Amino acid sequence: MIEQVLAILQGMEEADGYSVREVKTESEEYFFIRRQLDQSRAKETAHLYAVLYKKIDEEHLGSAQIEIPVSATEAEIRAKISRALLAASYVQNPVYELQRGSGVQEYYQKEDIHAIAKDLIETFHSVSDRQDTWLNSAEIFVNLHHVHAINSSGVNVKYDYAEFETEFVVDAHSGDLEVEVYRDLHGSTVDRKQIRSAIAEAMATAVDRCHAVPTPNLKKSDVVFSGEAATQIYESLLQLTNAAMLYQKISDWKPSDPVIRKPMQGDLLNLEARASLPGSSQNIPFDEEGRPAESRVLVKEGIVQALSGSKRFCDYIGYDAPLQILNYRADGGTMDQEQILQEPCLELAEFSDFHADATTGKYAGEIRLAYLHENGKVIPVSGGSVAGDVREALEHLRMSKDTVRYDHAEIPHYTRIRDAAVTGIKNR
Amino acid sequence: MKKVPYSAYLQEIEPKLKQLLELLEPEYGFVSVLSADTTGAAYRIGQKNKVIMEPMTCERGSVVRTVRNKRIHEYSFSSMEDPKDAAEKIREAAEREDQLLDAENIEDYPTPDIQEEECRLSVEKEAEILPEDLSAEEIISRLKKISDEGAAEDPRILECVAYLSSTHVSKLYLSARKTMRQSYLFTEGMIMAVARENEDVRSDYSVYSDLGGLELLDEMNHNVHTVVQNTLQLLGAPRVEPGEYDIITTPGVSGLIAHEAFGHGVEMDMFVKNRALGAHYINKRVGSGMVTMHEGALAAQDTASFAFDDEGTPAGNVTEIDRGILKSGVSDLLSALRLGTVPTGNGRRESCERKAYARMTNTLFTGGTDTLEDMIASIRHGYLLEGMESGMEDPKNWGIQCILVKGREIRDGKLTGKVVSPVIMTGYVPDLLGSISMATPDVYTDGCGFCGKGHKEWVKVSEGGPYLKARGRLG
Repeated sequence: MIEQVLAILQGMEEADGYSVREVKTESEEYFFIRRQLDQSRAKETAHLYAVLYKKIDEEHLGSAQIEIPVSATEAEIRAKISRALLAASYVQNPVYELQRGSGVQEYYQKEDIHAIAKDLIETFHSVSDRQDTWLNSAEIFVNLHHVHAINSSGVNVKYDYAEFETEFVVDAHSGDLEVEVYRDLHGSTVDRKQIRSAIAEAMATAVDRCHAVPTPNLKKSDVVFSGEAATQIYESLLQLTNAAMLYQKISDWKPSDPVIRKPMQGDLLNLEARASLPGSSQNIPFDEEGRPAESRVLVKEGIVQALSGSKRFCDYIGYDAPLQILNYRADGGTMDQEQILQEPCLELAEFSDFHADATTGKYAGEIRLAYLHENGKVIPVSGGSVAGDVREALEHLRMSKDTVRYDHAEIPHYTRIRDAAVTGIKNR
Repeated sequence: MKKVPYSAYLQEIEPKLKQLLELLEPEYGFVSVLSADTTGAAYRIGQKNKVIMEPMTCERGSVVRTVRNKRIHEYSFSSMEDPKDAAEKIREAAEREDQLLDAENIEDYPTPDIQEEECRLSVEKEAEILPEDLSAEEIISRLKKISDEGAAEDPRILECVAYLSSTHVSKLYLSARKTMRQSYLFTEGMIMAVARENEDVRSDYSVYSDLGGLELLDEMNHNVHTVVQNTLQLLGAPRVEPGEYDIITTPGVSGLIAHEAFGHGVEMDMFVKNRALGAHYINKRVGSGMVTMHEGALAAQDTASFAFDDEGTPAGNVTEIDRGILKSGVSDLLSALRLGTVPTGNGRRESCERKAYARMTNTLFTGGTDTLEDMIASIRHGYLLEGMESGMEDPKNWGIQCILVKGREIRDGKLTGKVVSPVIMTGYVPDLLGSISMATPDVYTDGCGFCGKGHKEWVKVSEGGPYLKARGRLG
């Protein structure tokens, strides 16, 4: 299919450039209710995505993104491309260059999705239910993607990669109260011990939720993130290194500048884009523009070192090293667990949902489970919400020395923010 | 009004799909196929970035469902060329997965046989202006005018984006007893502004959606000034003092509450898994007598208003809550079989490449008889809540979270002009619905959002209601 589309594009004078990306996917999927099979699924699909470029004048380059169905006839392909090029001629974006490349680059892994699925099924079925907590349901998706990406500036990369997603729910009860905890894990290689440990952790969280008391109305409190929600905080900061955010003047971060204007009184921020992390679902050999995956230090000890972003937006701000972040690492700080959980603080373990907005810097989430550390006690609490501003938090940010990996992210196990707004559901 | 034409591609492959079913039927107790050919275009025009792309709902593909010895298997594929090849691949995939499941001694969840009634249906819905009636040049020019006006209004505006997308859906469902074809068009729009003053960056938006065509552009033309002013008001806006307040929810926020409160909580695949408290509350009170809620593709004319769902069940309109009493959930086909209930037309897939689940469509509160002015006048200290950022539910324990763009302060029965932002509203669903005490007559829906199941399986939904007065915990 890709050859047919390329042949058509190369014969069309009105096309001033193109990027074409064919993705073929094989999958196996299994769905369980408790330990019984709800249903199984498989797929063998193909998609062909194209970005078509039209030079409007010396200063402007238009583009349009389309998907060409793999079942399209030649007449359909030609019509779709012509329509897209015509539309692109009205898209007046400042001119930029496409990613350049030379020669064919290939990277293949010998992954067996059937074996990965078997590993995952066996792992789930090896976990024992307890009287107070059990596995409610699980879904397993294993995909093998074959990618071929070509553009009109010489990029030509072929690769494949496997990845899985598994969603599971555990229940726990205490008396009449029954609660659930939801997890959605992603990865590329199955680490049975790690998955069993994630299920055990979810079960422990569910049991603690059963015994949680209403969150007191603290109004303001130091909070310590101890779960996956903290990735939102680090990812909102990572986005401030993106050339598009600088171009739009939402971010002021530039190489050699400190991340905040005030002196950082807590631990210094270190962020690094990583080409790979062990077991990550984003261990992909090339990024979407066809560049080899790359590790790069973005922020070191609170000082911006480098930027990220697409070729287009890097061109716009005059930065010559575009980078798509596939995986990242936020270094640990200076504190051990005991120090970072020093009371009084609210340790935030589980949210119903947690968002940190890169544009505004605001973060917020409803507390499903937290631990109140005060007066020598650790009390599980539930309900209410936490809110604040990530950029304001940088001044006094504290991070544990040890780190933990959540799929494509390696972040400090604990992250402490001073004076967050905590709305409880019970007055003190 | 014009008919939204049914896909020529689906017409072309229908005989091959029928042949595929005939090849598989002797081996399986049940076989069906769903094919989709969904096309569209989206235009995102701002000052610093202009993009033309396809909406994420676009697809061309098929999914075959087979049932043999109570085991349900599905196979998704992109093109339909040779029915014999396709049948062979379906057999091979099912056998490969069966071998693994049998080796692990995995039992099938008990499911009664699928019994379909005869149904022949062909629906082409209507729209005023089809996507092909307007050139890309004209659409871009109209969106650019909105963006230019917004950006020029104040130097603090960093960006003003005008967005329009149209999605032309064609679907075909075939089984031994059903032949169902549908085509419809939905259109979505958004105006979004970003403003900055010193370090403070804020954003606000307004959205537009309709089961229809590009006539939606006319509605967008007049609102850019309001969006820009609303965004500028957010600069420097403090957070709300945490606490419980009298609140008035705008229709968009009312819709978010409907969606999160008794949307996910009554998706009946959650009943099968014992994941929803609602299963135990049918015919019990869950809200005040002012609360009546509907769910279904026929409950509104918006982006989720199809004629049949992705399992070949005709669209419905379920009264979920009737004057405060929970009456019914919404169901996909398999969950209905397992629960011994009737499917409600809510079996939906993100695409032909994903599983069908019980999903929402249009979810909305019905209106009341109060005026907004009377609602505001009745509040000593509270907030008028506007703008949806996100929501999340806990169907097992009825917790609800709504993150909202802003609250407008009300003191002594009047809007003070003070704005707080952002606002996070949390609470216990029966408390929140139980506190609803006033509602305006007119109901508005917003179909610009997507809804996920857990953290995936994104489908188009609409949600709405009137202005509602309630009591809420804000932070």
